[in-house]
Amino acid sequence: MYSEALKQVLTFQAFRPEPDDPDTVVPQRMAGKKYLCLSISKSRVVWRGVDRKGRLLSVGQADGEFPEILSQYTEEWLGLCDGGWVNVSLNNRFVITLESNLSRKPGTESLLRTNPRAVVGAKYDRSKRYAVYHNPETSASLLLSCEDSLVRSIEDALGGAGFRVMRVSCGLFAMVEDYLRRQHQVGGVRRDFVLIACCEGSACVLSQKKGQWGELRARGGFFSGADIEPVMGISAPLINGSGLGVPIVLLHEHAGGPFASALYSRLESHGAVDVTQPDHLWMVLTQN
Amino acid sequence: MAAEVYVCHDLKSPRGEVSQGLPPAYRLVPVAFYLALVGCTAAMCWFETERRRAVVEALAFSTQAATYQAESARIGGDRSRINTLVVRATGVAKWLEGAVNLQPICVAVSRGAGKHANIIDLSLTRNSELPEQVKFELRMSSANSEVMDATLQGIRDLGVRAYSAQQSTDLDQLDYKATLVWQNPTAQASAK
Repeated sequence: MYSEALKQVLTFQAFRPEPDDPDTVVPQRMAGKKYLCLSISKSRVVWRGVDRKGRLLSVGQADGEFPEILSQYTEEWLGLCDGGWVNVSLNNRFVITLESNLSRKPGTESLLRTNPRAVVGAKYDRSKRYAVYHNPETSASLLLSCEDSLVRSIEDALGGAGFRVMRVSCGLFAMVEDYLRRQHQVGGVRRDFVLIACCEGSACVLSQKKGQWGELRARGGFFSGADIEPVMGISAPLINGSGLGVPIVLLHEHAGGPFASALYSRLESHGAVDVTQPDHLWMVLTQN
Repeated sequence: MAAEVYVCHDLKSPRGEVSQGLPPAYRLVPVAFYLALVGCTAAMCWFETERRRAVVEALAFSTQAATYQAESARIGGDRSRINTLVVRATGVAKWLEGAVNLQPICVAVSRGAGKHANIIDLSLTRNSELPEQVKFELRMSSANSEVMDATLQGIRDLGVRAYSAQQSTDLDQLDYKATLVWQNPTAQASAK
């Protein structure tokens, strides 16, 4: 025990936050360590390694249930990470809703993990886990509700295979939050737009008018491949309701996919703008 | 403009004992450790280098010491030889110094013998209890009484008188024995 503590001090590990510290950004937690990023969908898993310098490695993917894929790729995945640390992104069994007047007291983020009832209030469901992003200009908030059983089952499955969970997040919610934060940073919070964010079969459509979040529709794991009709089905009412000339912002987990191309082609005439960066999902998950 | 860095949401099961890491100021501890390690390594290298140099120097010094010891032994031998010579020379010098007042007697005997007589033996022995008396013994060949008289006259001219003289002649050989006494000690001193 003492030798381990001594080793951590001499390697300066003791001065860095622990890899599963939820209050620190990933680059600080995983400095000098390689780790694995998993994007888990209903019937598909996409993974990508991150080397010790924080650079993304080649991508891999497999179709099927997560436990089966886990047992099949355990050895390969363990070779991609130091200490078995895994950054997990979930793409199904979650709900994103638009709420207002949620508590914004300091420490709300950590309180949401330990005592979500104090933040969510009457909407609290003990079978859910929550995350929130507040509109800095208004009282509106985006509330993510994810199945507790799904998170536990993934944590247990990974723990049983020798992995350690660094973070469990919802990729779609993370992408939407990242975009909205960047809009706030560049001063575009008053801009009107319709945001269509898609990630591994999940989609979130948010309309903003004069800085106010008007309407939000989100569904997890409801489409696959390059079929854009399900997304168009939930997007059309918001696009039509926002009026002419309102830019449509497209956001995908990575740039240049067939789904992204098809959606852009369909909405190009409506002034669609694709703001997806290369490896967008992975960059959001590994930089923050 | 640089992208805002924020902490992404986390849905995993919370762990109570998550450490935030030690305060940055405590980094001085491992830094000091590594500095000490580097310092010790440098000192060790320096000590090792100095030790090796000292070993080489000790070997050179021991070789030099052996050379000096051999040189010292040789010089000691020379010195003892010189001392022996000094002792011998001192003896000769003392003998010469002590025989200075007898040398005129020897010269007188030699002159008195002339060129026809041969001095076989001449002995001058000083009495240690009466240093002013010298026992004189002379043996000559081919000598007659004239030669002997001339010799004794030469001795008397030096202020020395012969007492208890005994003279014998055997064939061609003449023996003379006497006790010589300086009549005037001042003359003896001047003879020195």
